[in-house]
Amino acid sequence: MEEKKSHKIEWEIISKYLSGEMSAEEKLAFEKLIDSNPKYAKIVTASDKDLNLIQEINEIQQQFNADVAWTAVKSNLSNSIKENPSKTIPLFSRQNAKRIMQIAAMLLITIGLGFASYRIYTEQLTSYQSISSELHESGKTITLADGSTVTLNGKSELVYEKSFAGKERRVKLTGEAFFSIAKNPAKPFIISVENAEVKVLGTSFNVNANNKHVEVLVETGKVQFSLAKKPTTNIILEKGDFGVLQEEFLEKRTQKDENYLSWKTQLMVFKAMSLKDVAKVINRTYQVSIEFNDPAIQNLPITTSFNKTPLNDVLENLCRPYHLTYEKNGAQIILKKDLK
Amino acid sequence: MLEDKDNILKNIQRGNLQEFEKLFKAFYPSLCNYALRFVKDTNQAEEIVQELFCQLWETRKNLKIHTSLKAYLYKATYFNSLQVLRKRGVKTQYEEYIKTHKPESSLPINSVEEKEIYSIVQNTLANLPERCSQIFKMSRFEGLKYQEIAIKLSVSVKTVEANMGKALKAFRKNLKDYVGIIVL
Repeated sequence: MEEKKSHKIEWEIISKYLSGEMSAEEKLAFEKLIDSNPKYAKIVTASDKDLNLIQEINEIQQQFNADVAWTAVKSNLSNSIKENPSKTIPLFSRQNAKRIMQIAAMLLITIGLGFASYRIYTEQLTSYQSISSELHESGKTITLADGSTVTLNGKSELVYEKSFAGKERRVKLTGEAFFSIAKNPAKPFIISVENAEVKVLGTSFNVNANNKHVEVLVETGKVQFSLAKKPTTNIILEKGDFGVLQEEFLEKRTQKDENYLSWKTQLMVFKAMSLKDVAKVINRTYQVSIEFNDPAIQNLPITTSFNKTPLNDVLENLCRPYHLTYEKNGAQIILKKDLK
Repeated sequence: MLEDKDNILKNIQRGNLQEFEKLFKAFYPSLCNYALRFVKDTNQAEEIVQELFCQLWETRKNLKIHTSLKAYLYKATYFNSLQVLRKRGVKTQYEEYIKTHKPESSLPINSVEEKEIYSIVQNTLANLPERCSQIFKMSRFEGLKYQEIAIKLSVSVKTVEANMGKALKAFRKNLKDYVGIIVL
């Protein structure tokens, strides 16, 4: 009986000890106990190792997701496999999505181009597919064969390969999109627009283009931004860099507009911004067109922020402090001074 | 699991992708973690390991490995990491590593078993009562003190203690066979 009692392992106490939750006195007493009881000491040591191992492994596994990485590596390998007929590459689960965002490239492109040329392009090459969105439809998302995801803003179209079989992953875009690119160093991801190309070298970036005006904002990693006609004319953009292509001139600038990605994030921040500029951000974010019935109200300063707020609530919040009203007709919005 | 090196290699050389996938998944996180020690950049570490496996696959037919697979992969990761450091132009850092980090000396204790242990950890957590595994995760993965956990979950510190003990016991039971081997 006595024997049995002394061997009873008190896990609560061991855990308390190993978690550093004991007072100095308790600790001293406990250490004395394990000193005098080798069997107990062994268990404490083993448990300590358990905990360290669990923590270390958890950290590593959380940090480096082998399943996600495998998809990227495999899509690259499958070229050289003849024995194994190509299989469908699994889509990414929700759980993996966050991880992709972390490791992946983020890219945003806007370009104003006619759709016609891509229609032809699509018909000629049947291994290509396309996805498009209507004018006021933003947030349409697709997962590509390599695990990359693309979110389209309104009035945009993306042409992509069903299974990136070649040496590179190439897509064509019209309009605006947010890319989250699965990393694959062996197979570069290239976004072509009419007059430029954006190549993912490292990890994450944003591109924005309109007509012949293209903008690239790099969030992390490295991006090569080049002229379509003359690929040797290029600039390398790294974290925080903002590249602009105007006519045929490529240059690095800084982008300080914190609402640059609002259309995607639905997060808008205004700091003493004129209502006119606020309207521009809202137009871009919600795909609407705001006008004013009285030029005087355009310069009213606005300081507020919105996080995934419905458009009507945004408008009401803007109008209230200045006693304005708004009239909404489809995508047309008119802000009015209250004439009472 | 991966003890039969020759068979695994043979299968991979024949183009057995499933076997290659197994190898990849078993080693990927730990190799990345290993590369991370040198390059200090998560993305770069992942790139190194992904490239390594791409190369491995491409050259599989001519591949001859005289050491264990594990040692080979770690060594390759080590050399590729140094390559990256050198390219980066971190000369001093590179030389420092050459001097102080022989690949053998910095081999981590646990590597291939990690995947298995990880699944044991996941299973153990899944089989504990939800509250218990939640408390354990808060304590061990989020680094919260008992008191903080108690407040967050609106339970007493006693409850936290009891659940932590329960989890620890379950882990010891399930890891008994593994930890012994690895620590040796």
